[in-house]
Amino acid sequence: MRRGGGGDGLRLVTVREQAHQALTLLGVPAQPRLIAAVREAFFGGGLRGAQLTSLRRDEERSFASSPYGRPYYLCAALTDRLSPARGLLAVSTWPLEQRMVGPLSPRVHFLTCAVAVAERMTAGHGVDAGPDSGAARLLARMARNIPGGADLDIGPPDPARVIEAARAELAVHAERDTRDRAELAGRAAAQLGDRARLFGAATLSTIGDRAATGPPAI
Amino acid sequence: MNRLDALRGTTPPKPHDARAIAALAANPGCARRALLDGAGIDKDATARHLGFPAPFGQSPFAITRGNAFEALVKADGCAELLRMLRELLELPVAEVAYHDVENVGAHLRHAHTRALFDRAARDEHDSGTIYDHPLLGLEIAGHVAYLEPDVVAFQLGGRFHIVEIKSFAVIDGQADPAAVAAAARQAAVYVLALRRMLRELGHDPLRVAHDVVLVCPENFANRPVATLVDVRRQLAVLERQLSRMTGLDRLVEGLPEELTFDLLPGEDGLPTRPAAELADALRRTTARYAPDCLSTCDLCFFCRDEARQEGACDLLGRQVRDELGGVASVEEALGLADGTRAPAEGQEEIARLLRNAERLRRECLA
Ligand code: SF4
Repeated sequence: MRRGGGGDGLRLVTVREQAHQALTLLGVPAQPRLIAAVREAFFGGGLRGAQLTSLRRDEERSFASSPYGRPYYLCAALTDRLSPARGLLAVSTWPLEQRMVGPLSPRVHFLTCAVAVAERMTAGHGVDAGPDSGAARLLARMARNIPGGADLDIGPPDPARVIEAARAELAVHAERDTRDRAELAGRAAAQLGDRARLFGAATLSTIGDRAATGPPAI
Repeated sequence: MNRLDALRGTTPPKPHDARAIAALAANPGCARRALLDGAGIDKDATARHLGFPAPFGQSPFAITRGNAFEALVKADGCAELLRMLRELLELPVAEVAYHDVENVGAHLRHAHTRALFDRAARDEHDSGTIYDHPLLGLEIAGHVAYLEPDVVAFQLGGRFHIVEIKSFAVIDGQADPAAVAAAARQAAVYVLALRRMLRELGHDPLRVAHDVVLVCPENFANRPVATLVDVRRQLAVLERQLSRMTGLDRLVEGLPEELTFDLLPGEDGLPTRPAAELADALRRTTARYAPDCLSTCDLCFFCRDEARQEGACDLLGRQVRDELGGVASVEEALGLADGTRAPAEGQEEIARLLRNAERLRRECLA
């Protein structure tokens, strides 16, 4: 069994538990490197992104041998082709819409994560939020990529300001993203079996509107 | 048999990749290179067989660094890239739609790329902003080469921009000119491939901007910074070079009937052709060696050796060579400068300049 170092001398927390905690904090599908950064910022380090790369496959194998044998699975986020999105991890207990990735979702995920990180910092939770802490560095990195999220590159970011800026941009994308994801979730529910709904369908066809292509090649 | 195929002989053709196509444009005046590339000859194998293996091939370390930097630029829904595009091209905040073409199987990626760009070029709304891992095709001397730009950004207003992610550093706004030039040449290949695809789809090819977005790490920190690079010149050279490849007949015409660069691979695939004979065959074609060849062409050590033996001005670099137009060797240039050699017809102007330069040099040293 794989064990991750979750704090010296404390209870050992498995890699999947660590990833689950971080994903639950973020509330959206995320890449291994972000999951590892969130772990480091709020739960103590020890998790490396590389440890997560084979996780999804292990989970799928476990699900295949005894479906729903675990309370949750770390599973795939699904693309507009209902295939697994490359490099993203999600949690099986989330509603289907939450695991769908429409064209705007990567940006929406990023902004949502920034809000979650900033909220966690303001809430305290015994987090060391000093300017050099992992949490502050993570937020600073996110803040500079959000319009109005940070003044200058220097100095620790203000979590309240990051939240406000991220929410302002989220408002621009939210409606269309929610609509896209609901539509995808509907398709996934109608077309996919249990396993594919969690881990994605194999990719076969190209996007639907080929008939609309232009005149033949010169 | 086709004359070009005869030049290659029994050796299997080598397909072009983006780097190879970009290198075509690096030395447009070289007939040797044009012939070898046009005939699909494996220049790397040729150089090795001649005993002059090329000095490059990216180190695994550099490749890892490059991949890590690219991952950083694209992480978190291309957060860094979006920031840069918003600053640089005033990309509106609403424009964030991301399509990863790699989500489809490898054999479908080219068709999927075409379908996505067709849709993007067709309707102005809701089509997409960033296309990651598209697969473009470009016909080179009768063969389609497949190319993968790092990302393609689609700007509102219906213009496409190629984004090229490179891991060489920009320090205080300056980068190694040779590295930037190489990146520009490579980006030009992508611009051309995308333009041709749009044209085939019935759209205006000029909707692909000639300004490419070059993304590099800034000041050794891993923070990415974007710059617009105008690749019109590289595009012009590339197009001329490509059309020349299809019109290689003229170059071929001047060659002796029996000439071939065949490596005569044996059953184990290893060359059996005597290296000296192959070298002689190559010397029948005209090269234009320049120090730039050292970073772009597999044959560079062979050609440099040849240029040294001839004392050619080419050794001093393209700029000097062009300024010394009509003067073939270093020896000749020195002779004209100190007056021990009388200028031939057409050399009067350059001889006067060289004599002036020599006089100035003496005055400075005196
Ligand atoms: S190395 Fe030789 S063949 Fe290659 S471009 Fe330079 S001169 Fe031409």
